Amino acid sequence: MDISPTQTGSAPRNAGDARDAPAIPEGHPVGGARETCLLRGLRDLFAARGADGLRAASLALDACVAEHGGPASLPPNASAQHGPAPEHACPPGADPWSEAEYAFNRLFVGPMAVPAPPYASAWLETEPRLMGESTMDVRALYHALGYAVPGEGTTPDDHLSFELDAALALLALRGADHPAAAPAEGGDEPGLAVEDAWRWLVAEHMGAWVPRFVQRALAEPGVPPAIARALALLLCWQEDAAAACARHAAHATDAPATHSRRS
Amino acid sequence: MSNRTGTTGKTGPNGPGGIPSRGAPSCSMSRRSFLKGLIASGALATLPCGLLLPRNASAAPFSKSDFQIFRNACPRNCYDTCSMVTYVRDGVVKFVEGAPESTFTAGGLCVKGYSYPRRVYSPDRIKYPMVQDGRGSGNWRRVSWDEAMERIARKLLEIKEKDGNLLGLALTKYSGNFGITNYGVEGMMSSLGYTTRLVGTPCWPAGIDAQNYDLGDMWCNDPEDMEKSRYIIIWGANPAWCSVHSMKYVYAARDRGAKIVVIDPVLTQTAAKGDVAWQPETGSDGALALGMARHVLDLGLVDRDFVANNAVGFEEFAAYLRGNVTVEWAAEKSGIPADDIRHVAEEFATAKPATIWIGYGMQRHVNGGASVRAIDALVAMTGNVGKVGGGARYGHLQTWGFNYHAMIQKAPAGSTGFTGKSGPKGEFDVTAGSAAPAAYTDRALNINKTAQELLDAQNPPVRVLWSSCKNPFAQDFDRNKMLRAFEKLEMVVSVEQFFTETVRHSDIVLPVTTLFEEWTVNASYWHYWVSLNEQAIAPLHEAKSNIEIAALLSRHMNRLSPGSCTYPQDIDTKEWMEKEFNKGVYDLLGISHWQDLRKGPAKAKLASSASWSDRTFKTPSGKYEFRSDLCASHGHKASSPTWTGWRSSRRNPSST
Ligand code: SF4
Repeated sequence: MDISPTQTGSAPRNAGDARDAPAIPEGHPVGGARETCLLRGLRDLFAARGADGLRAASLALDACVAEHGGPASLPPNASAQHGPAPEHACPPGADPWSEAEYAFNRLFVGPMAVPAPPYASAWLETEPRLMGESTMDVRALYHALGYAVPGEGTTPDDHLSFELDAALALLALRGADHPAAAPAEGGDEPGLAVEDAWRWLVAEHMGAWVPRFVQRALAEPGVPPAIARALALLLCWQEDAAAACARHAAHATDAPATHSRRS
Repeated sequence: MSNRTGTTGKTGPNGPGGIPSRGAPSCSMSRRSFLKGLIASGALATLPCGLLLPRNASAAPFSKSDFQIFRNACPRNCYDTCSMVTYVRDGVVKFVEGAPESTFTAGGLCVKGYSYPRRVYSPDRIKYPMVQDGRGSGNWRRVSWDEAMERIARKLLEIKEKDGNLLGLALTKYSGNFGITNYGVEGMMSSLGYTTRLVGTPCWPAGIDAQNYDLGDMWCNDPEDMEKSRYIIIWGANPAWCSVHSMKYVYAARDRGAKIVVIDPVLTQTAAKGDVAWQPETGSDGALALGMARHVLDLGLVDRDFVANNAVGFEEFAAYLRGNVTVEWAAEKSGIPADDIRHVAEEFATAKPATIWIGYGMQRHVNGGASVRAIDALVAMTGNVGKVGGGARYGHLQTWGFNYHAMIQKAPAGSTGFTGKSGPKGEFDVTAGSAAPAAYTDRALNINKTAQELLDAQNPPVRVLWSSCKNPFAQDFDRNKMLRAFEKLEMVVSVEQFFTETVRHSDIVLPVTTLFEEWTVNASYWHYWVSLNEQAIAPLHEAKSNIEIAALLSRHMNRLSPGSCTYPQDIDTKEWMEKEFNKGVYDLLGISHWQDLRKGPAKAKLASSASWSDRTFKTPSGKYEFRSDLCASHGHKASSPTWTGWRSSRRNPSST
């Protein structure tokens, strides 16, 4: 599930498809590569249509964690190597990834009412309702990047996978001297827009729903380890990114107000 | 994303660059500036406010021009069938309201109507075609539409091969969406061949039969003329909840001096608002009506002109009353004190005009049809049939004269089917009397015995059940038997918006559109307005309309076995909506084209707000029939309304 370039309006401005990108700019902090593969794995996992997609995304996350290390707070057994489903939940002979698919659908897809809908607006509107104002907020962000979800108006823009896709795009923009990161008219300093967009998306917007989403999903019985691990990775990433965002802002601002805010 | 090797570190997470100097690091304050920066053109200058946010567009005064406005109609099988106006912005339904043009809807909806946006955008909607591995297991997989339809098509071809016909395929469908094009589901079945149908109506059949015997048709007065009634009995209906728009006419009548009597075993909200509330024994309504009729007879308050000139069989009815009915007997059966019965009967017979609203609840009993006949008789003998503000109001289908284009489809050449006696017919059966009797027909099973009929059907058994606009587990009788009946089925396909009990027991679920996502047209069985239903938004997720699903099935059937399905393979819901209109509908509504309905709903042009105002009835005699030979010929006990007592097990719940 990726955001596709809009046909109208501003060109994608090279903010290309996150799947094939990004060649990490030379000298970019290692955290960038880790964050990229992590976001890509999470995006693909939550966009999975079935067992194969879940398996591929889980293996990609495995590889990412093996190469770059997981967040410190990750539960010790939260790895796909421990199997996609708890043993007791997996009847003998059953394909464990099929069992993971069923569990994934019970949590996030349906057809029954799902405990943890993977849409921002399900958590951010005054009542659970897709296509709300928060959906329009991320739509505006995608449009500003020159992108749109496929089937805009049909597919809610704020599905977790699209938001992770947009985070990947912004991550790449942050690591590059990209025209989109150029100063806004009025002479602000370069990079302002991208940094602000990143901070808004990962800290403010996703920060307002992803932790609740993860906790709600993990509260369900029988979440297969592969999915529990992905949820934990998602939460750790979001929290780390938001914390970095706050540190970043605090560092840049010597206003005393900032310090009191952090305390 | 960018391959540029930009200035490293400059914009990294901890890098120093590009940080605004305007103070607090609140992300919420930065949001507009990133949009401005990214769009980087035509943006308004941001004023140097440190605390105030730029004014949000949504805080601007309401302006209709901010919205696209569409016409819709509530398809919920509610008396009111509200004409709606839908406000869309950014391709999203923002809110809905009642159409002001309809004097019935009068600009308002009920809370279910107002909360429609919540339904369309519910995170719990069924979003994708899905397959359940093991019915009832809760193990669901997403599949593409093509995978789902291919699976169904292969199964249908398999059973056709095995049985030599498609009678192993059964359809259960009722009132989940009364938009006319949704009869395309029946059309889909016909286009496959002769199939099995669960037919009849779980809702109101006894009352329809009763009114057909008495009057020749079910045809109620315009509810808007209830305000002219001098006396209103609401019998087994709860409009304060179930027909909120009708209540304004009830109140208007009361403001003009009418008395409101509400008869219901439950103290409903309507009963609480009435002047008199009776709570009779369940199922005693017929006895109560006969007791009132006997008192009217005793007082000499019968409309002699009507019963002599416009009716047949009154003297037999009167003799039955004298011989078998007393007010005391009615009081004993119903639990309503005899004096109260006498009092209300006398008031009803002397107030002109007086009306009875016959609800659907009271006819869902043994004696149900006879009870409606008894109430009809009470209204008729007091001279209230054919009168503005009078009438025995049950329902009507006067405004349903559409083409049923979506429904009427041909069986593929060479199809074989059922050759036995035809079964019950639905109330919307439009094929009656058309063409010569076919060599084969569909196999009709009684919808009111769905579980038993599915268990009993043989040669072939029902192998595949298609459920649309329907939830048999909630709507049909005997859940435990239904579970057993479903065990016999080889495949269950549910077409749904939400996860019902029937979906839980299905193999395949297909997501279907809501009213905002397709074109259709809606009529009411109560008021006389007809509403266009425009597509206001693109279907959410992967939902398709019933007729689009049929077209897709046809594509797969024909790909696997050319000629196996006659349904068009490409359809447009708007074109199909247009095909439902004809000159008769236009003339009745006083419009020249369906496009006129974009300006608002239209009301049938009626000679009078009263049904039967010319006292020409559609019965065999052309008169009101207190005695109906047709009723007797259909095997019912008596040709005039009687009350035969409860089912024997009623007082003994332990027996079966
Ligand atoms: S009153 Fe009936 S028709 Fe009107 S909005 Fe409510 S449910 Fe729909």
